[in-house]
Amino acid sequence: MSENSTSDATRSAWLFLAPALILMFIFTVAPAMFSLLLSFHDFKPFSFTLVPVGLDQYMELAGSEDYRTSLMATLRFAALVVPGAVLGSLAVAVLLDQMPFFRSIFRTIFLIPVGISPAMAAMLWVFLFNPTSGFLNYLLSTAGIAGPAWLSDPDWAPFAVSLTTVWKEVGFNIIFLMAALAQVPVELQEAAWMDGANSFRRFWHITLPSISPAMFFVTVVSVIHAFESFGQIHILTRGGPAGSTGVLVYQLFRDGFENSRLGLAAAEAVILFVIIGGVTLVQFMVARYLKGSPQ
Amino acid sequence: MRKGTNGLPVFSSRLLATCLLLVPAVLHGFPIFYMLSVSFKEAAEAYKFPPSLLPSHPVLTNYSDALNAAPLWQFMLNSLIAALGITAIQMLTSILAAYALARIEFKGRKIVLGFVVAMLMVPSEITIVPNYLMMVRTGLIDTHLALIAPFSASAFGIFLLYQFFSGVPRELEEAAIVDGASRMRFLFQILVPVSMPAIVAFGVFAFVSAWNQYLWPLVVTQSTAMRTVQVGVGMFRSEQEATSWGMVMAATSILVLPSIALFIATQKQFVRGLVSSGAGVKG
Amino acid sequence: MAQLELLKVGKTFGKNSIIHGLDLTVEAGEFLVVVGPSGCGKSTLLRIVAGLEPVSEGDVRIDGRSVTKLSPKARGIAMVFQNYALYPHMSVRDNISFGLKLAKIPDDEVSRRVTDAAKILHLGELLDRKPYQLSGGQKQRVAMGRAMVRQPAIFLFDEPLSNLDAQLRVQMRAEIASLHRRLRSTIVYVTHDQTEAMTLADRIVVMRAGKVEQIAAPMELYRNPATRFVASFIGSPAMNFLPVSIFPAGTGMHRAETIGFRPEHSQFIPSSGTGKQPPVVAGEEDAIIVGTGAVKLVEPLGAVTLVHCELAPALDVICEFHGANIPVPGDEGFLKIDISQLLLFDGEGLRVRK
Repeated sequence: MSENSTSDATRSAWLFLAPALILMFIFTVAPAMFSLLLSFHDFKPFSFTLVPVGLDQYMELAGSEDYRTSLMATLRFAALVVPGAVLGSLAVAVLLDQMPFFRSIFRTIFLIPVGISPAMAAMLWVFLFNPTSGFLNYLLSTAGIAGPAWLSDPDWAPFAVSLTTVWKEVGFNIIFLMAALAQVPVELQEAAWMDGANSFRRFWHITLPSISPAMFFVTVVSVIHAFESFGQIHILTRGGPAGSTGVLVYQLFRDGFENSRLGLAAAEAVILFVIIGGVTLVQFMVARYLKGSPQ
Repeated sequence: MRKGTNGLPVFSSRLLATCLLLVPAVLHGFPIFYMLSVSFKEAAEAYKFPPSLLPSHPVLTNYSDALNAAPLWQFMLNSLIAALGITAIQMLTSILAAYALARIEFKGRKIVLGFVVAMLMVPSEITIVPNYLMMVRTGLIDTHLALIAPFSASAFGIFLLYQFFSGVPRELEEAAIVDGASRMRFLFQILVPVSMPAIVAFGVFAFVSAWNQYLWPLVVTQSTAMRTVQVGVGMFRSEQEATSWGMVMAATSILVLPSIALFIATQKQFVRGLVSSGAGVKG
Repeated sequence: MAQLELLKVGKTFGKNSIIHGLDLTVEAGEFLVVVGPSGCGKSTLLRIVAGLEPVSEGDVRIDGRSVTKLSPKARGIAMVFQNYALYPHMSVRDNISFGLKLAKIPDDEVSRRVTDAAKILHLGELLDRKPYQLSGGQKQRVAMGRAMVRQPAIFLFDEPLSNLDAQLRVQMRAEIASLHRRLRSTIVYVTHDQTEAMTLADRIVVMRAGKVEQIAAPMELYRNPATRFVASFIGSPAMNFLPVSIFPAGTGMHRAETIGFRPEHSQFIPSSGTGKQPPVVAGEEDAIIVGTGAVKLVEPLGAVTLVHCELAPALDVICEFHGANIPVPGDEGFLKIDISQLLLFDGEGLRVRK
């Protein structure tokens, strides 16, 4: 257009793209590749040297009990957070959808935790979890239940961390699901109502399928967040007690930055990349497929 | 029976729905409220069991203690510098790149677009260790630059703006060309002003994401003076039973305030940015 | 105002040849309209003249100098777009002066030109408004103002009136015509509306599928179309076409396959019921009866009444009705045509002279 040949256009285009592409290459592509390389080497921090060790570090992870605990902790964490975040947000979104007044006030209340960081969320809850002076156990005691030592009991720590995480993330899901609910065509509802379907049937057969893409998206995002959680765990439990909340990212942090085993950490990063990247890829493909198919 | 938009029973009174919603709403608002409450409690009262909802004699000593315990303003300044730096560079690089992808027909356009989409899927954990090593090597550990540099480009920003720019009619750029505008001029004098809502939404979202980072600042800063808000607040977390919870809550209150204020002020744009983060996927 | 020449211009997109071997000269000060159906390449042609689209072959010259490799700005052209393309975030004044400021024209000159344009186009009170506050017609005038102030050698219009309602279109047509008279600029105007072409143009270029069918003044196109396509495109309501077999033999129509006649040169005569042909009317010695048909549709337009009648299955013609009792669908009648106005076309659609 302002150039009279495609080669001029190509040159312009690359100039515009250069800053972003160069930065992405330096700080994302190259490091990702280097992580892969690093995972096959033992890295000596003081001398900055790499000693090739082949697959040893991967084998070490495969046989490591710490790593297995970490994997379990991550799966348990995801299993606690995802249903809570998704179903809880669905319930609230459905209720909010009905309310024309106060909607923005409620929405703000649910959304604020999304705007604060995982670290802040943890700091807000850490006192609530206190076994003796915490409000949570006080509340339970009024119901006659003796609350546990939330953050120091390996059986309960995962719940504590999950609760904090769900509290923080539910707002995001609510926004999404509310938008999806608003797009369910009213005519479908009315047609079903005239056909005599009661409310639950309508919800199950019409509303839910209509919002299933959004539900899927929200679920996958929750899963990915679960796998990438770090801040709140570092503050609430430091990965303990007994590794019960030491999720994969935490394990990476500990191995790489507390124990200075950077090569091992790189191997853990590669594994994480495969897991998270795989989940994200699945999400993309399903979304593409859903986009192409009629509702 | 009145119908709701989603077919769930519309309660005979909106009052019932409101009451049902109050439970999760209270649950949600409680931690923030309680944090404020404890921050004004006298030391002894914080430990009292059963704990009280409101301080009986509110005091401000916790706040002065918190400010003395750690350089809270410094934390905020560091976070501000990092977040502003990241946001500014991301916006600039994303605007330029998105323009090229959306409006220039060039060879390899599809490949670059695919590359950007692929970058969207790369989790940050894979880059932490090498980026850290790079910072150590270049002596940038414990500097503001180290907080900013690895996040200066954003595939999300490029993709978001690409989608928006693509929707702007081609005629607008042609009119500008006929008027004698160069590409750059069109981009910054016309396309950017016209795309302000998307750009601002992205800016807010990028700022908040940068502000809320934890792992990278934790790893790349060492001295207390360079710590950001998020890492700094974590410093108040200690294992001992004798913690002054009032002071901890006061420190948290101070440090969380900017986030909440910013959030309430930019709620609309923030939500737009959030929703767009799924736009490329949801459709 | 400048002279524009296109020499053997061609444009291909991938495998599709949109325009081929196109030659055209627009004289300085001429109002040239390019018409044709969608996809005929007229917009592409305009964009090539503008410099928004590079040519695949051929040359574009303005006042004798080749501009094929020059950017739009360097060519000294200005363009009015179909969807106005106004800068949404700028005021009307800023929209109009944007190009001038880019050309580093001094502020007082800019201001003078903007004021003049605003006066001519009646934009005076709108100068501080934003585009979203304007109606379609106002937006189009702002677009024209933006083009005008640049005092271009050639004005280009890309279907500027298509987005306006019918009444506004008539009004704007008059404004564009008066603007041309006033500025005496060279204008290339693209439209698919033959009425606009007929009323505005000094000459019309009729295009079809990337090729020029005919270039001529409006009335010449009307009276002497070179091809069947041009004949059917120009004139409203459209020309009727009948296979030559319909006509009685011996009217000297060898070599023709299709006969065309315009509705305004034909009449519907209702049958009297007696089966006899209507008598010859004085002054209509050139008219012959071609056949009979049943009325399908009647359009009383006020000044004239049009009758659609079916001469044979799948053979409809439109003709005029002059008389007091307007026929209704189903009525039978005769079709009378003035054979001095017949146009003959051969198998390829080219005009054949008698």
